[in-house]
Amino acid sequence: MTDTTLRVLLVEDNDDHAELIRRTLDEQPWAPQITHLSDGESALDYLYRRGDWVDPAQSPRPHVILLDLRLPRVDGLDVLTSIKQSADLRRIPVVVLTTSSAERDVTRAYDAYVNSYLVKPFGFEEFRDLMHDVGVYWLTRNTASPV
Amino acid sequence: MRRTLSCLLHPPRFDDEEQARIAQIQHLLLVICLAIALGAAGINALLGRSLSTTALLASSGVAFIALLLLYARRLRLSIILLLSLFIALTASLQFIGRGAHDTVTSLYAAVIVIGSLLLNRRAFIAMVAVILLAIAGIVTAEMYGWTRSPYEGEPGDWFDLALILGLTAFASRLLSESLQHSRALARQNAQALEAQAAALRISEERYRILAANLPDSAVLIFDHDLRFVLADGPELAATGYSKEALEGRLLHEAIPSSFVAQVEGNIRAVLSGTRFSAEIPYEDRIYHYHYVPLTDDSGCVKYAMILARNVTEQRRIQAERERLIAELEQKNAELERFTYTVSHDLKSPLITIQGFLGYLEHDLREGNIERMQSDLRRIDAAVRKMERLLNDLLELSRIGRISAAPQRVPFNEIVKEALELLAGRIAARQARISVAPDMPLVCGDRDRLVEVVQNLVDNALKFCDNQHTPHVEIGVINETQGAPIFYVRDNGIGIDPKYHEQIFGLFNKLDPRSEGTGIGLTIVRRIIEVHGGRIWIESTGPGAGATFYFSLPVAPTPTQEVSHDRYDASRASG
Repeated sequence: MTDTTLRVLLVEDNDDHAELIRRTLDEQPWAPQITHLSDGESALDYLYRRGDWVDPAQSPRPHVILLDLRLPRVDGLDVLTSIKQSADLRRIPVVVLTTSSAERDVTRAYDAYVNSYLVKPFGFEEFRDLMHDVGVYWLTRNTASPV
Repeated sequence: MRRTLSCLLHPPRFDDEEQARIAQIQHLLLVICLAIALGAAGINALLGRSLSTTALLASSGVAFIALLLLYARRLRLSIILLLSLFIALTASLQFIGRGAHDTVTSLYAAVIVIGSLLLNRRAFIAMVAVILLAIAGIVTAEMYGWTRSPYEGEPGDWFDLALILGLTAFASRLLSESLQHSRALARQNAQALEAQAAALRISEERYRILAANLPDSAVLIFDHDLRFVLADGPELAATGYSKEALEGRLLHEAIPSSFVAQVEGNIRAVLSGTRFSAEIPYEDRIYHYHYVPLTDDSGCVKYAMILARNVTEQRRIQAERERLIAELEQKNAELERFTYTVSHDLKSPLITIQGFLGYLEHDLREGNIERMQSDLRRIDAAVRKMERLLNDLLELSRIGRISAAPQRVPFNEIVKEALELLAGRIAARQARISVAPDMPLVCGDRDRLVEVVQNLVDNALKFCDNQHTPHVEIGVINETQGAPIFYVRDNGIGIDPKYHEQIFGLFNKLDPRSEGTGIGLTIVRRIIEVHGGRIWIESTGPGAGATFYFSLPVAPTPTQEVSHDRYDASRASG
C-alpha cells in the first residue's frame, strides 16, 4: 500500500510564524503532516539523514520544503544550495517563505534553483490565503517527482 | 708718423672673409715689393745707376699708391695697379735687357701666380691676355731690332712663351680655384658646425630650463660612459647632491655603490634603446623614474635621460584614499547588512502580531478561551520583542555617536563594575570568576567598556556547560609592542569555528531559543572598534569552552595625553 500522507518540511526559526503556518495548513481538508525544524543545520541533518534523523522511517521525504532564509547556524540559502546540488534531494520542490523581499535574496534564491519564492505578507487574511494557495498548489495540484 | 708706419704694416680690415684674405696677400706683396724696390733703388743709387734708381723709385711710388689704395679700400684697383706695375716693369726690363730671352721673363710666371690668387676669373684671363700681348710686343720689337737684345726675335719665341705661360696660368688658376673651392667647403662646414653647436646649446639650454623647473623632479642625462652630462632639478638638492657635484663625473664616482647597483642596469638598458618606468625608494622617499633614450637624427641613442619625480606624497595620498575607500566600502556593506537585518527582524513580529490577532477573532467566535490566552501571550511576546529590538538598535546606533570624553581607567576597575552589575546572575549560576590582578590602564569611554565586559561575562554565563561549575577567567596578554590584549575565557559549550564570524552579526543567534535578541556581541564589537581595537573569538569547537580576545588602546602617558585625546575623540565621533 502506498503512503498517501502529504508531508511538509517547515524550516522556520520563528516559532510564532511556524505556529501560524501550521494552523493555516491544519485547517485544510488535505491537512499535511508537518515536520518543523528551527535551524538550517537540523534541516540538513533531516534531509541527509544524519544525527537525530538517521532512521529513514523518522525522516521521510517531504512533498514540499517551506524554507525561511534567515536561519541560525546554516543560512537558508546554504540549505537551498545544498538541496539543489544533491542528486537525491534536488527534485523536492523548495518554496522560500521569508520576510525579505530584498532583490539580492530573490535573485540568489533563483540562482540556487528555488522552485518558488514567497514573501510573508502582512495581515491575517493575506497570510492565510497565501498558505492555502501554497498548500493547494504544491500538495494537490503539483505532480511530485517519483523517488 | 711711427704710428702711421706701424699701421701700414698691418693689412686693412675687411668684413668679407674672402676680401680680407685677398687684402692680406695684397698687403704682404706690396710691403715686400716696397721693401725690395726701395732697397734695390738704394743699391743702384750707390752704384750710380741713375736710370735703374729712378725706375725703382718710380716703382716704389706706384707700389706705395697701391698700398694707399688698399687702405682706401679700393682693393681691386690696388691689385690692378700692382699687377700692371709688375707687367710694365717686366716688359721694361725685357725691353732694355735681352728681350724675350731675358731671365726677367720668368717674372710673368710669378705675376700669373699672384694674379691667379688675387683676381677673379675674368680679370685673370684679361691679365694673361695683357701679358701675352706684352710678350708679343717684345718679340715684335726684337724682330725689328728696336731692342738692345742680342737675339733676333721670331714668332716661334712668342709661341713657346705663350704656351709655357698659358700652361702656368691654367695650372695656377686650377690650383687657386681648387683652393678656393676647398676653402669655401671648409667655410661651409665650419658654418654648419657652428650652427649645429648653436642648436645644441639652445637644446641643452632648454633641457636645463625644463629640468630646473620641473616640480618635485630631478633630470639626469648620461652618456655611454655613464657620465653625468646633465643633472638638474629642484629635487636634486633633496637627495643631497648638487649639479656641480655630478655633472662631468662618472656614475660610480658620484654616487654610492649601493645605489649604482640599483640604477646602472636600467641606464644601460636605456642606452640600448629601451624606454620604461620604475619606482625606486630612496631613503624615506619614493621616486618614480622615467627612463628615456635620447637619440640623434639617425636614431642612434646618444644619451640616457632619467626623469626622477618624488611621488612620496602622491603615493601616501593614494594609499590613504584607497584605505578610505576600502573603509567606506566596508561601512557601506555593513550598513546594507544592517538595513537588511533590521527590516527582516522588525517585520517578523509584525507578521506574528497580525497573524495571531486574526486567530484571536476565530478563538473568540469559537469561544476557545484557552487558545485565546495563548495567542494573546504570543502577541504580547512579539510586541515585547519588537520593543527590545528597537531599544537594542537605538543602543547600537548610540555607540560612537554620543561618547563621553575618553578616560584613563585601570582595567580592573572596569571589570569590578561589570561584575557588580552581574552579581545576581553570577550567584544564580554559582559561577566562579577569576580576575587577573594589576591589568593595565586603558583609555576610553568607561561606561561602554564596562558594557563590553558585562556582555562578554553574561555571554559566558549564558552558554555555560551544565555539567561543570561555570568558570569565567578575565586576564590580559601583555604584548611587548602595541596594545595589550584582554581576554574573557569560559569553560562553557564552546562554538564551532565555522560560526566564529557569524556570532558578531546583528541579531544573529546560534540558538534561536536562547534569551536576548542577539545584539550583545554586535554591540561589544562596535564598542571595541570605536575604541580602535579588535575583537575575535577562539574556540576549538563544542564542549571546548571559548575565549574572547580584544585589544584596546593603552592609556597614554600624561605627556602624550593631548594628542591621543584628540585622536580618540575623532575616532569616537566618526
